[in-house]
Amino acid sequence: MGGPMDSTAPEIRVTPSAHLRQGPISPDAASRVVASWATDGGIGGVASFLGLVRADETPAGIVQAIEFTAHEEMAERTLRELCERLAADAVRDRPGPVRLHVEHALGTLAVGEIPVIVVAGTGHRVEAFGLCRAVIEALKSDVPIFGREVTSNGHRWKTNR
Amino acid sequence: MNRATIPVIAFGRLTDVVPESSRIDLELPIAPGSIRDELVARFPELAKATFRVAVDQRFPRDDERLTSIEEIALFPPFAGG
Repeated sequence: MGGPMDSTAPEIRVTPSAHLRQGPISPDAASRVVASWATDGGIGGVASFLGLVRADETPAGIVQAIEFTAHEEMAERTLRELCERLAADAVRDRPGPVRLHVEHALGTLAVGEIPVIVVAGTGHRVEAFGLCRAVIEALKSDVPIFGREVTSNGHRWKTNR
Repeated sequence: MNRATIPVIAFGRLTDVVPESSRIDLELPIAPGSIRDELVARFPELAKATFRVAVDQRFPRDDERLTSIEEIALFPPFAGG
C-alpha cells in the first residue's frame, strides 16, 4: 500500500454535486447525469436511486401529493457535507474516482413524481451500490426536509419508515 | 449575562405548535437543555412532541454554553426522500 509520500499511490478524485430544487425531478435526470460523466474514463459502474411519491392508504385517506419543505440553507449544507464524507469513504479501501449527484425537490409533488435522485459513479460496481445506498439512507436521517401528505380527506405529516 | 430576543423557526408538524415569526427571550450564556426547557415553557404543546433544537444551523453538544445565538430552529423527525 502506498502512503501519502508515495507518488505511485492511486489518486482519489471526489466530485459531489448536491442541492435542493423547486418542483419534481425528471425521470430523464439520471441518464443526463450519466451522459455528463462519459468523458471520465475512470468511471466503470453507476448505481442510481429515484424516489417516487406513493399513493399510500393512510387513516387520513389516500395520498395524492406531498408538499416538501426544508430549512433550505441547513439542508443544502448538510447534504453537501454528507455527500463529500460518504464519497470519500466509498473509495477509501480501493482508491479511484467518485462521481455523485444528489437532488431533492421542494414544493408540491403529485403521486408518481420524483422528489429525490441519487446517482453514484465509481470505478467498480461494489462501491457504486454501496455509496448510492449510504447517501439515500443518510439523506433520510440527517437532512432537515419535511413532507406534508395531501390526502383524499385532508392532510397529514409524513414520517419516514 | 445578557438577555437576548431570538427568532424561533419551526418546521414540519411543529408549525402547528409554534406560530410563524415567533421569538423567545433568553439569558445568555445558556446550555442547550435550558433552551429546550424555555421553549417548552413558552410553547407548552412542545412537551408532547418529538423534536430537536438546532442553534445557528447546528446541533450543539449538551455540555456547551452558548454565548451568542442568531436563530433557533425546531425540527420534528426528518422526512425527506
